[in-house]
Order: sequence, then structure tokens, then C-alpha cells
Amino acid sequence: MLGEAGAVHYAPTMSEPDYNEVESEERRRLLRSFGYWDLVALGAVVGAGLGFLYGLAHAPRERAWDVFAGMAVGAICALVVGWARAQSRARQRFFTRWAAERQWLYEARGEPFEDTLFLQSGDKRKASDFFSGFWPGSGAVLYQHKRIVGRGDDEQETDYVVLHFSLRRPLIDLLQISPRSHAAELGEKLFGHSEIHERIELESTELDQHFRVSGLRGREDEVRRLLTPSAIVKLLDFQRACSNESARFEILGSNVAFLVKGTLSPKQPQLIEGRLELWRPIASWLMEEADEQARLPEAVREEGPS
Amino acid sequence: MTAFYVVLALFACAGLLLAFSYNRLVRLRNKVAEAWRDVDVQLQRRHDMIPRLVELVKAYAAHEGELFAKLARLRGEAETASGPVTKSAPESELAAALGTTIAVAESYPSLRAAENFLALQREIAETESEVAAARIIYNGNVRIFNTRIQTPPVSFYADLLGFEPAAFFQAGAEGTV
Repeated sequence: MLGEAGAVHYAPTMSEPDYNEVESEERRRLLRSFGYWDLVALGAVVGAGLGFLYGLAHAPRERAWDVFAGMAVGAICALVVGWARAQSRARQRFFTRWAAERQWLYEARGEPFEDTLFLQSGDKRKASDFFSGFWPGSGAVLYQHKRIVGRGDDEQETDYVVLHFSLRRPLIDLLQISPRSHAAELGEKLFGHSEIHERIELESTELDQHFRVSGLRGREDEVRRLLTPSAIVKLLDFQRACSNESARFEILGSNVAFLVKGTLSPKQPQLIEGRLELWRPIASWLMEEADEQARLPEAVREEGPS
Repeated sequence: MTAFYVVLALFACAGLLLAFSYNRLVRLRNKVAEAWRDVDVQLQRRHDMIPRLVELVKAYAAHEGELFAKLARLRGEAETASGPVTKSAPESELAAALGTTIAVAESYPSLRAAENFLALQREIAETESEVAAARIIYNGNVRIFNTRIQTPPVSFYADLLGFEPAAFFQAGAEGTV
């Protein structure tokens, strides 16, 4: 999917691209283009026509004013559309160049991953800004995931930055580590427990204060076997490093997703690298565990580590 | 009559708060005990590796009898000690002696290259990092529990309810292997 047709490839130049520069270049290009001014003129003509028709329908109002107002609205709409297009092109160009400088790949559009429970949740999902190649050989992808809940006027959108990768071998049927929420706990107490998952209290009080760990009902041992003391310490270190972000981790078989609320911004590209650095210890631990499991003979694997 | 109901409501509120607080303290104390059991399991894994290591190294360095005897003595002391306070010193010494034994073993190239030694060395290193992690978790739980019972308003009644500060497990020489 990534880096195929449609992606623009840049060779690394060893110089960091500047988003403001790319953006103003795109704006200049837009203002110089004939097509843009044609679009503005067309917008004004269409607006004038619509204004005239509006005036006819609402006689005896002044038609001239309606025509002028329609022209202005049409022209402004065309200006805004062009401006937004320039912004989007600048974003795409900047991210492509920025990724290329790091030998990564970037693709502006793509299908959202839907292979973990949280990524499947919501009434609709959209995805954009796919980065890959930052951990060569891992197949990891970082992208922006939009989760849409509700329909029509009640639609609520939440953006997440997602790191997604697949392990060589399934580590656990289900593991969810989500930010601790008193509202969710109260809801659980009032409306009953989920049939599928159950909360698992691990030995660390600090972990409990920040995260809610859950696994499949009746499979607590599986979670405890994976979340050894050193794994818990990794999670605590992660929590300390990004105390202001509410991160969520999910493993479903061999599919892993790390999520954090927020968007990818070309104005702060360093945040992408920062997040990857924060997630790296936990991701590489999971990959190592899966590789080790893959190396074990089948009989030992089923028994579990001693 | 109204004053009576107000006083009754206040007592009921205080009782509820006390009950919630008691439950929380019990939960925290149980967490400390659970984390200690985890430390103990990891320390036991460390102890179980010592005879295997001695057996391996003995074949190459039989003259290091003093070191092997020290390891056996420290293992015995560490196993008989119970609780974080008494276990700290022998476990620290044991971890240091384990590190020395590994260093001795590494001075024999043929032993250093032996597959079973490499596997054991990896296992010991993993256990040491699990011991260190379990200690961090235990001490974290102790810190939270102690802070809770030593700060007002809980400090006013923690003693009466039978809650005493838990002891930290001092950092040993784990992770040196």
C-alpha cells in the first residue's frame, strides 16, 4: 500500500525542509496560476447568477444587491477552496520531503487499519498521512486515524496518532492497556461487566493509577505471563516520559496498535520522531518476545515459559 | 430534632469515608504483599541458577573452591532470610558473587564459547533484570502505601486500624551480570 503509485519520491538532500517555506511557495504558485484566478472569476459569475435567481424569488427586493452579494460569496468560496488546496499540497509536499530525508516513505491517503478492537470501533473511520520505513524490516506504520461516532448532526470526531505493526507470531489473544478513566469504571460498576473482557489488576499500584489493563475473560494468566515485572517497568517509564498524553495500547493476536489522541502536524514534525522514540522500547520488546516465541518448538510454546 | 439528623448524617458520612479509606489501605497493603511475592519468585529463580552455574564452572576452574563455597553459603543465607529487611544484605552479596563467578568463567575461552554456558548466562541476565524490575515495582508500591498512611488525614487513624509502614527492599548488585 505504502510507497506505491501516486507517491512522490524525493532523494534525501541532508537538509531539513522548512514547512513555512513550502507553504509560502505553494501559495505563490497558487496566486501565479491562471487556473486559480479563472476559478475565482467563475465563482463570482456563478455567485452572481445564484444571487440574481435569489432576487427573483424574493421580489420586490433589490436584485442588484443580491447579484453583488452572490458575486462576493462565489469569489470568496473560490478563494478559500484554492487556499485550502494550497495548504493540503504544502502539507503533502512537506511530509514527503521530510520523510525522504529520513529514508522513510510517506503516503497522504490510505485505508485505516481495522484489525484491533479499538481501531474497529466507531461508526466510521478515516485515515491519512501514512509514514513507514522508520524501523526497517518491522512493517510498522504510523498514521493519523479519525474515529467518527454518531451520524448526521450528532457526529463526533476524534483524531488519534496510531503506530501499527504486526508481530511474527501471535503473542496473546487480547490485551488492552488504556488510560484509566473513573467514568468508565463507574459505568462498569453501574451497568455490569463486559462479557468478553475483564480488568486485570497487576502487582504495580502505580500502573493501576495510570492504566487499565484488560484481557479476554478467563485468560488472566496469559496477560500476567506477558506483562512480567520488566514489562511493567517499561510501561511505567513510558508513562513518566509522556505524562500529559493519554496513550492506549492494544494487541489482538499478532496485530499491535499504539494510539495517542492528537494529529500529525507539519508545523511540529519533531513530535512524530518523539512519539516513535517513546514507543520504541515497548514495540521492540513485543517484537523480541514474538521472535523468541517463534523460535521455540511448538510443545514448549503451548506450555508457556517456565 | 433537625440537629439530631444533621449529627446523624455527619456520623454516617464519617463512617462511610472511614470504610472507603480502610478498604483502600487494605488494597494498597495487599499490593505491597503481592509485589513482594513477585520479588521472591524472581529471587528464587536466581537461587535456582546457582547450582547449575557452579556445576558448569567447576569443570573448568575446580581451584575456585573458595568462590563456590561462598556462593553456596550466601545462597543458604539468602534462602533462610525472609522479608525485605533481612533479605537485602545477603541478596546483594549473592548478586555480587554471581557477577564474580561469571567473570571467572569468562576468563576460560572454551567455557565462554560453550553453548550451555551462553544460554545460562543469558538466563541469568534476564533474571537479574526481572529482579531489578520486581524491586522497582515493590518499592513503588511501598512508597505509595507509606505516603498514604503517613499523611493526614489517614495518618490520624492508620495506626489505630493496624497499618504500619512497609520496608523498602534496598538496591543490591543486581544487573551487574
